[in-house]
Amino acid sequence: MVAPRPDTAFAVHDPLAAVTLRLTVNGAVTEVSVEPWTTLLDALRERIGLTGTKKGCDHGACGACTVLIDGRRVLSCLTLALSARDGAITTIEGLAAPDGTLHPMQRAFAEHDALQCGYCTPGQIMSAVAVLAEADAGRPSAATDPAHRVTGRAVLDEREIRERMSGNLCRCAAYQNIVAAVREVAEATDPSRP
Amino acid sequence: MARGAIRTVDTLAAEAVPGVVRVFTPDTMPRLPSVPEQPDWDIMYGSSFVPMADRTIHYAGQPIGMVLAETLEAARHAATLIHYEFAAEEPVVGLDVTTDLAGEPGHEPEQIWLGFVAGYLPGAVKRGSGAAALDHAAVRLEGRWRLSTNHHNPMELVASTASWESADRLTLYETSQHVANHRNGLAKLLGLPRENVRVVASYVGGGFGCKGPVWPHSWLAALAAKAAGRPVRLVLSRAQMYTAVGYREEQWIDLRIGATQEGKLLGATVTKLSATPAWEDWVEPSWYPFTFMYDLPALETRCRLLRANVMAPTFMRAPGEAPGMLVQECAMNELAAELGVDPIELRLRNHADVYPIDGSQWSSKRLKECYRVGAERFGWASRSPTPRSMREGDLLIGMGMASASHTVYRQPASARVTITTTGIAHVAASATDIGTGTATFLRQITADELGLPLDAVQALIGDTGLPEAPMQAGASLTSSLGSAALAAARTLRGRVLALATGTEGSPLYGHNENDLALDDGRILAGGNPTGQTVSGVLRRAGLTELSSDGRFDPGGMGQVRSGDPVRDRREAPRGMHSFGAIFAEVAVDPELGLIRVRRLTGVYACGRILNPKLAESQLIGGITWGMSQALFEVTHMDARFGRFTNTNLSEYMVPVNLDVPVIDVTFLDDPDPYINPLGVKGVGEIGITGVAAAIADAVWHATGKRLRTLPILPDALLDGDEISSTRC
Repeated sequence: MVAPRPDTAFAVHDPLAAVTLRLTVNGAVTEVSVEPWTTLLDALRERIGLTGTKKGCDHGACGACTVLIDGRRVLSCLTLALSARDGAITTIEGLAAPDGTLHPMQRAFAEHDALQCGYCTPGQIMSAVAVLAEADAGRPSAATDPAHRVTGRAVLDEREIRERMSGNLCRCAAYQNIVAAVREVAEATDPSRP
Repeated sequence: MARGAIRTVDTLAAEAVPGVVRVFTPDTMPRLPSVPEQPDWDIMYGSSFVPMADRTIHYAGQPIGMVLAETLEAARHAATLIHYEFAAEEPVVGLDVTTDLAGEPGHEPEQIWLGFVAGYLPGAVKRGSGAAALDHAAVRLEGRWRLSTNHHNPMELVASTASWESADRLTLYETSQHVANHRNGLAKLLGLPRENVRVVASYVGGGFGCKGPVWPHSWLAALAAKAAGRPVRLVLSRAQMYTAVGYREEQWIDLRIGATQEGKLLGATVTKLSATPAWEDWVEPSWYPFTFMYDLPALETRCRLLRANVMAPTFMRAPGEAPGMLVQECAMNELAAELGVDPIELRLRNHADVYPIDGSQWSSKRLKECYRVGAERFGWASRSPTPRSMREGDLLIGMGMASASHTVYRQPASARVTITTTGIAHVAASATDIGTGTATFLRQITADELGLPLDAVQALIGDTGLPEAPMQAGASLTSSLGSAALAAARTLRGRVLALATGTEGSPLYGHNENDLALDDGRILAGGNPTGQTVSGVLRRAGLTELSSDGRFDPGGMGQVRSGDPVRDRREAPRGMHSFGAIFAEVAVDPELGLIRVRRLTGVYACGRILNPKLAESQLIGGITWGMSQALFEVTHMDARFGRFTNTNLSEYMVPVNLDVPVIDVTFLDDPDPYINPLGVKGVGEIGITGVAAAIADAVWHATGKRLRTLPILPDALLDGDEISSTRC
């Protein structure tokens, strides 16, 4: 990863001085005007009009605002829009194919009724997509047996999925159906399976 | 500050912030033409309190300022710059005070108002010989259950967007469980005809009770938009939601219950203590389950309310039943242990064969089968009755069970079904969808009745311009609105067939309608294709579409007894309840006091299940709420400041994915010809009931400790302050 250059254009000290920046969201470059303390979440929702990403707590506690930056999941309410300027941002709106075909994770959530009110769902799905990438990179979680050496995709059994998805609250408590959805996609896409 | 007054307020700095449009304080906020009054049989308010109307402070978190700005950032920043000086007084909060805000030891309301879904309930109940029945009890149990303050915390923040289309026409986009209620409320408060207010809420991100009533943020947004001459969006922060849209009140429930040596219940007394604001009484009827659940010949209940510096509590998932079933089922389990009787057996000995409130028959009841099937699925027989007798390595294993039940509520509802020559049908009703599948069940019912594939039916919901649906509350929407949709679709089907058979020149002219059926847009006669289609029938009649309205009126379901339609719905000629049994297994780490719920098995009889997938999801969610009530949820109050201290989702604990075990849900076939034409009892509320008692009993079974303060947290298992059941 290239270290970001010091960028004097953004060395602003007036919290209300709007700055213009370019964000790459779902493959498209969008110019937005934000305050230096505008969060990525508010920039996406209020300035770019992508309201699929939800605000549940504005506090980094609930996961409803989860988006991907360069494929990694981040809480957009705890990310300043300015600091996201060098990354490729993916939101729930960018997951389906251009022809509208749902991403396998979206389809699995719908099939397993892995939602009730649907408000946490964009964040859950973005997290779940990132979980598979994390597992493919062999990254362990708190549920991973430290004695077990991970090579290739980390095993995604129920406990692993629950642990890795525990940053996303679902007050309707659709958890076991979320696990079923993630598990189905994990099994279908497991590179180690024939 | 929770009590006192604003002495001075200075908005200059806030107004100077670039992007700020208006700053409102109690001095400058426009007044409502009309204020909320309770009771109102047409409008459900969260509270009759009107904030921003004067300088008095009644509770911490009370709105005292509002900034409109071009951006969220400017509004937030400017709000921090409004400067107030206060004259503060000592707040009165908590249940352990000797005198309340009125200088009294509390008061006992004669009746309590539960809004138009449930109407009035008496504040005190006496059945049989009341408390005197306990004198003859061979076994008595006495205790105080302390239940914490709980907050709904739907994932979606509460929000209103108010847009005045003209000087007297308002459109409100609201996070609402009942758009007609918000329309009626806003129209009344703003002095507008109802037809001039449109409220829209198609899909809502969870409600659990807090988005049903009309709360101040909605009218504040409307007043501000009118003053500013432009649309206003007001989104409450998560922290603000803890004092803006109600909560389940902290409550102490004192119970005395007595039985014979054989375990037959003789009587009980239930006294509830909770706090309410200075200006109105709110109490959820936690004693209510004692009136209907068991064959309990004598009962005496009271509730005492303390006036305090708090905002009004409100309905929260299974109001009354959630805390009441918890206490009642805990008591049954403690009694079973006292008597050395299996908890299921004790319940069977006290099974209410008839509806205990008036001795009438049940509309349907399969509780005994719920116990039996639940015990089998869970493996209840493997439980050794002695506490601390089951272990797995270092872990103490415990098993517990409880009954579950919820009252069947029925509300008037309307729906319209339209079929068009394109072969598409629409079903329309103003109901919102808070995650229960409103659009899905409406489409299902319509498709079934009109013989259409599901994809050919669209639902229009969540707008006051549509036929009026009831509040999404009390597990009553599917049953009530579904029955209205069924009526509409059935009428429409009849009209299509009447056109086909009654129009001269129609190939089906003169056919008996009873021989005809609709199948995928075609008309069958005696099961065989006729070559005729619904679209063709409409075209021949010169129509592009045909609509029928349907209505469900529960008043028509049984005899009218009191003249009060809400009471009649509640006190129908039969006892109408859903029932279930819930079983829990926990593992307790004796050194850390950590409790893990390892298994939950629930078996339910809830009438007809329209959509097993959605119904199972409702139960999984409700059961998780019960687990959360048992082990997680508490809103802490700092009594010095009268302020909740954990108003965020990091410190208000709710279960995350890894906390929740696999939940095994089974529905029994439960035909019920009495409740409504669909036979649906509703599944949204029963899930939470009983679960906390099953878990508390499992914790006792694992550890030998009877804990009556909920939630049960690890420190209660670690300290020596053990509460054992009292035999007196």
